[in-house]
Amino acid sequence: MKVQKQSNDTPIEQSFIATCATPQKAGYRPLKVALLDINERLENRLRYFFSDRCQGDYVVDVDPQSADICLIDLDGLRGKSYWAKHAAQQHNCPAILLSLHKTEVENAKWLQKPLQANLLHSELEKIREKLHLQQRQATPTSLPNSSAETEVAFSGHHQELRRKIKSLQAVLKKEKIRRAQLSVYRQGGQGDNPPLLSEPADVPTRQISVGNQEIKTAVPFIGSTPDVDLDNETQRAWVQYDPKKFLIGRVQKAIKLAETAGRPVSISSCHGSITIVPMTREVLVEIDGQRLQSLASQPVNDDEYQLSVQDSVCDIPGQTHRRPVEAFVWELTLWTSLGRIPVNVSPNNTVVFKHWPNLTRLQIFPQATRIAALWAKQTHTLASTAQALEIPQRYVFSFFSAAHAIGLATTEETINEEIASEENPVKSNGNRTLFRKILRQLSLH
Amino acid sequence: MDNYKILFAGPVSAGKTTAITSVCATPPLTTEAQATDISRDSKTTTTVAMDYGTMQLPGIKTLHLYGTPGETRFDFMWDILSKGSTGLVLLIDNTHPDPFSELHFFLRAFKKFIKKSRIVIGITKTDICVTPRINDYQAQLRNVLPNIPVFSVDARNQIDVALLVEALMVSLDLELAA
Repeated sequence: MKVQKQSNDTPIEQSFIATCATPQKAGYRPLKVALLDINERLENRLRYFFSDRCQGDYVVDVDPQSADICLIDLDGLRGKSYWAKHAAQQHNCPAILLSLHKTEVENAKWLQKPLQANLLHSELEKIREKLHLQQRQATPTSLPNSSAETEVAFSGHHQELRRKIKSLQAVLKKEKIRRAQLSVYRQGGQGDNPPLLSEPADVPTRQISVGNQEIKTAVPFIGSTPDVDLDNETQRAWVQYDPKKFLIGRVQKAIKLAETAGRPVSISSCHGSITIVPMTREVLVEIDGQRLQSLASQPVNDDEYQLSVQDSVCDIPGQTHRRPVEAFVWELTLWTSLGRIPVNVSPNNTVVFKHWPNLTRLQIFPQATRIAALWAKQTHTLASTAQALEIPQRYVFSFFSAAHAIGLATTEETINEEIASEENPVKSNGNRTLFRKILRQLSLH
Repeated sequence: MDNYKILFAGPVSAGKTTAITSVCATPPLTTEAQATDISRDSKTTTTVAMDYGTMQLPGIKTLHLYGTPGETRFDFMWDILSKGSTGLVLLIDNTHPDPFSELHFFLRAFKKFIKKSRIVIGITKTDICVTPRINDYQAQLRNVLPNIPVFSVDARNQIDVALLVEALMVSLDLELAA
């Protein structure tokens, strides 16, 4: 059986696909989608869907005012009020409404939950077409004069090119499948292979990407730090950060305190509060996602965040978002690390991987599954992982940082340090006991 | 040669047919019949022979997905369908009164297959029943099958199921590359 570690495309095909995968270079702009009253789980899936299946054609925008499309969950607490407000104010911004039960709406498209990826994709594409048409109609048909007009016309031309490229790409893929089948038949088939109950080439196949491309939307989670020489101390320092100097450090301190005290612990600041609830393993966050992302990447001052043990939880509906602790810490760490590793971790030491993270409920990014699979199978250092998978170091560093923050990965030297720190108090206790014995002896004499 | 046969197994009502339907290119071939025994309590129909569908991955990988019947009286189908499979997706229903016993039962039933192949585990209906948690399943597996992917999965959700299959495929790729 052939191993497909890297793409089997020919250089021509690779360059062809690369052209298709980087439409931004030709002035192509991804559409901004505002997610209103969408729960965190669905939001994570949508982010992955936009970046992976839609290849970055759509990006999440936290501000509905600047968004091109609004996605509203009518079953959410504030979904209906969001829709009423949207319908009253933003006639030009198309909306897609989601709900479990059929809802009749005007001037918007309704999709039933659970959301079907192909239906959503088709609706988004229809909206894209519509917006594009509106842009073209708003632009005079004569030769564009201003730079803005040039951009619109160029964008229109690019859209057509893109459609052609997509259809050619589909033909190319079909051809590849046909060739693969031909080679199978030529080889006379293999015993290990499944019987083909239907001709795959004739089946209209649904593409499910495994996310092995770097995409623009992954940058907020893995950063853009270039690879460095890890044996060079100066360069190594560029890819290290001290979690204690960031918000994630305060959050981890609060989690420990909450677990010890068995009571909620709040982190208060002028930006809002973050409350750790140990009983339900949840975090109540008052700060909106974009602001939190920005705060996560900035070093904190000593007096910026105050920790306090609470008697009860103050959950104000509409102002707080509930999230599982693990998912919150994972995402906050990704925003903080941006492709770097904690300062006490040596990239040349072996990674100790406890087990796979529950990736369906965490913020996923390209290469995450490959890194986890490699560490689950073989022991590697952070440096050798990037080499073995032939990927930029920042993917490995981001994955390690996030897994380290939720206690699933560490390096050998960190374990040794922990053992040493556990041994030290024992030693000091022993000395103290000996000292007491001597004192007792002295007092007796 | 990039055709892979993936087996979906697990107890009745774990969501095997639903999961295959979620990720398949076309409506899968199913063999649903009216439930006549214990499965009647949880659903009206049940798989009696197999489910079959295909899934296309970027590149030229075609995955042939086979779903086994969940009921033990059809366990002869498990061996038949296992032949030639490259990986196993085991789905466990978290609302079952004793999901760990179900887990161990199926790990024993597919022991020979697991020895020579790769497995991923999807825990379904975690939105209905929160416990046991994924960490509890990992603790159960620590001494039996350490370091295998165990994910919470909504079988109706294409992305959840696709991610589970992706985890299996990358594990297989590394296995084969080694």
